[in-house]
Parts: sequence; C-alpha cells; structure tokens
Amino acid sequence: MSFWAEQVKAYAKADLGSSRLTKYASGEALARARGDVAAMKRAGTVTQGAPRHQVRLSPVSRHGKVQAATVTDCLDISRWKTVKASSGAQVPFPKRQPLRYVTSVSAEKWGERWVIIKVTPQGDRSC
Amino acid sequence: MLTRRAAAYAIAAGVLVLPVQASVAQADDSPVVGSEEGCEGKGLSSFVTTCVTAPGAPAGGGKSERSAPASRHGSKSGRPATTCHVEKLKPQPPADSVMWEGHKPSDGGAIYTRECFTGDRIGSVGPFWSAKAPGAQTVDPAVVARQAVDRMRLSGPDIQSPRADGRYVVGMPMWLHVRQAPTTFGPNSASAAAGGVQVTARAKVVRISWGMGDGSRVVCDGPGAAYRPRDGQRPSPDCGHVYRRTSAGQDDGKYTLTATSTWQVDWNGAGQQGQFTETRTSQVHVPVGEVQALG
Repeated sequence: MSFWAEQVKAYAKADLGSSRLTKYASGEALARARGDVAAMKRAGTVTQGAPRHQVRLSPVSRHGKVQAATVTDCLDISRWKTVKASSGAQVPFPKRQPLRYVTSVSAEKWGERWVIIKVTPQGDRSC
Repeated sequence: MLTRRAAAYAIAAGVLVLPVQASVAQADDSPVVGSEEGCEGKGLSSFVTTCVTAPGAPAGGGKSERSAPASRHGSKSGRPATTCHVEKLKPQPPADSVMWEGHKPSDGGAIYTRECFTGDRIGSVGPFWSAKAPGAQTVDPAVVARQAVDRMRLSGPDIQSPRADGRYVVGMPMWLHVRQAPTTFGPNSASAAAGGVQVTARAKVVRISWGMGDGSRVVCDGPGAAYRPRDGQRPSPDCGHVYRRTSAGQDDGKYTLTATSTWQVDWNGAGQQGQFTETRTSQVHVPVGEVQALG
C-alpha cells in the first residue's frame, strides 16, 4: 500500500483512523491530511473515487544519514469527488478549479520505510 | 511506463517504486463543476486548491489583532476566526530529517505538527520544533506574521512628485515619484511572537498604483524616477502621466491623486512560511492649468 492509497481511504471516511496513513505520512503531509479530514468531518463530507497521477522522480539525495527524494506529480483530481456523507450528493468543484495541476511531494527514508513528509498542491500550475 | 491510471506511488524499502495499485473505485461520469466560486462550509479538501485559505491570505484587511496567545482569534477586525490544532509527531523523525531544522533530538525538544483553520477552511499546516510541549491548540503563525507587519507601522507612499504646491500644465509630462523610506517603501522587517510561535516578516513595496483623478490610472513597479531640472520637458522614463484637461472643474480646482502601494510580505517562523500582500494609500491634491506665456 502507499501514501496516496491510505490518504484516499482516510478522505473517503473523513477519518484518519480508517487508514494507515500515519505509517506513510508525517510532518506537513500528515498535518494536511489531518486538517482536511477534520474540515470534511465538520462539513459532513467525504470523498469518492481517487486522484490519478503522472509522476516524475528526482534523484535520491542524502542529508546526513537520511535519504530524501522528491516526486513531481501531475495530479488529476477530476475523479476524486467530494460528496455529502448523508445524501451522497456531490459537492461540485468550484468553477475555476484546475482539475490537473502540479503537486510536489517530498519523502524521506526513515529506517526501512519511505515516509511522505510534504505535499504541496500547486493549483496555479496546470499540467 | 507510468500511466494516468497509475494510482499511487508506493515508496518501498531501498528503492522508490512507482506506481502501484489502482484499486479505488472510480465513477465514470465527468467531473461536476459548480457555477459559483463559494467554498465556505462545503467541506472540500486542500486539493481543491481554489478553496484553500492561503497562509496569511487577506480575509478582511485592516489591522491584525494583538491578542496574544489565544487559540481562537475573534473576528472584530472582520477576519474569520483562526483555530489551530497541535499534536506531537509519532514517531519522531530521525535525527537527520529536514524537519529538525538543525535541532537535535538530544537537545530535548520535539517535532510537532500544526494545522490551522480559518473558519471551516484549512489554512497553514506544517511541522515545527519546540523545546517544550505547546498546548494542544496554538497560535496560527500566519496571524503572528500580521502582528509583525503591524509593528512595522507601514504607511502610504511618501509622494515627492507631484507636489501640492507645484505648478503643472496640461500637455506637459508629470513625473510620479515617491521617497523610499522603510515605512513608506521598504524593505522593512519585524518579528512578533505569540503563544510560543515566533515569526519574522519582511515587507517591501512591489507596485504603486496611481489614480490620477482624471479617470486614468498609472501602475509603476518602482518608486519612479526623480525629476531633475536638466530633464527639461522629457517624460519620466518609468512612471509618469500627461493631463489632457485642466483641473478647473474639479473640487477646489485640483486633481486628487491617490497613490496605493502594494506591500509584499514574506514571513517565516515556527517551521512554516508564507506570503501575503497589504495595501496603503496616500493622496495629494494638485492643480493643473493651461499653458501660460510667462513674462
């Protein structure tokens, strides 16, 4: 399993506990997911479907004993919908929302596992 | 190769392995796009980027509140309340992680995550280092950044040209120029701290928009060149205007010039950074007359 799969699970229930996201995400990436899930829970929404990806890796670098890598993703959110949890009614995307845009992802290798530490959606960079 | 259907990057031990599973159900219908921009109360995630409250995004203008280590800032200034949630990171990152920002686990501090909300929308998020455990709720660094900007006491452009006591003539180039002081043009910087969150903000004017009073607007990226007598009747090389009518029909017989500076503020602190803009305005009243033969 992976970071995105777990994040999609968490957003689908608006509940971090129904995923294993904390295993694959930390720092900013985890705070973002926790914040999103909390906001969705308050608004009574969940997501359906999943985003799609086109990824490009940068070479792995090293900070001291920790390996680091970045991924540039052309994130496609068109099939990752937000719905009202009670009725299933879709909450539409805002009119000006780009549905495919660049998202930068930073990861570090902690022990044997790569952990996503930062996810930066760049909605102003369509792709 | 990678396909658009590839759903996720799993990063496995040792090697970055891409992409892996795509097991999540997908609806086949095309995305539904709303007819309006409203994001409030809709419960959209931060991946719907048009609904994200950028850290420090202006949400009402005016002055920042100075109430210190409160977890909730009232909206007396018209700015929606900001709340933050803080948790200690489990597990803590290894010693060489960038998240330590130069600190060491052996120093006794720890890494925490903070997510802040403006109203019901997610604002700034991020990890930060703290020597001792902060409260479960803490101050939004973006709010502290606005307090830092308040300390700079930024004011409107210091208009050097045109001058209220100058003589200006229809058809002649008018040079627009402001003095560059820390409080009127920048650069300027200040720090503020609240609730254990320390933020440093740097501000500078990136643009001045001149409303000329005759219906035209001139936008300049800099302070504008200063006029010297030897410039004669040349137009300003970078920031000027030519009036086509006299100010005789205006209130007091003068044009009201309104210069609005846009300050770009970059801030960082508590492991986060952000940017926002503020504006300040000055006015000058200038008479513009007909050409007269001078004896």
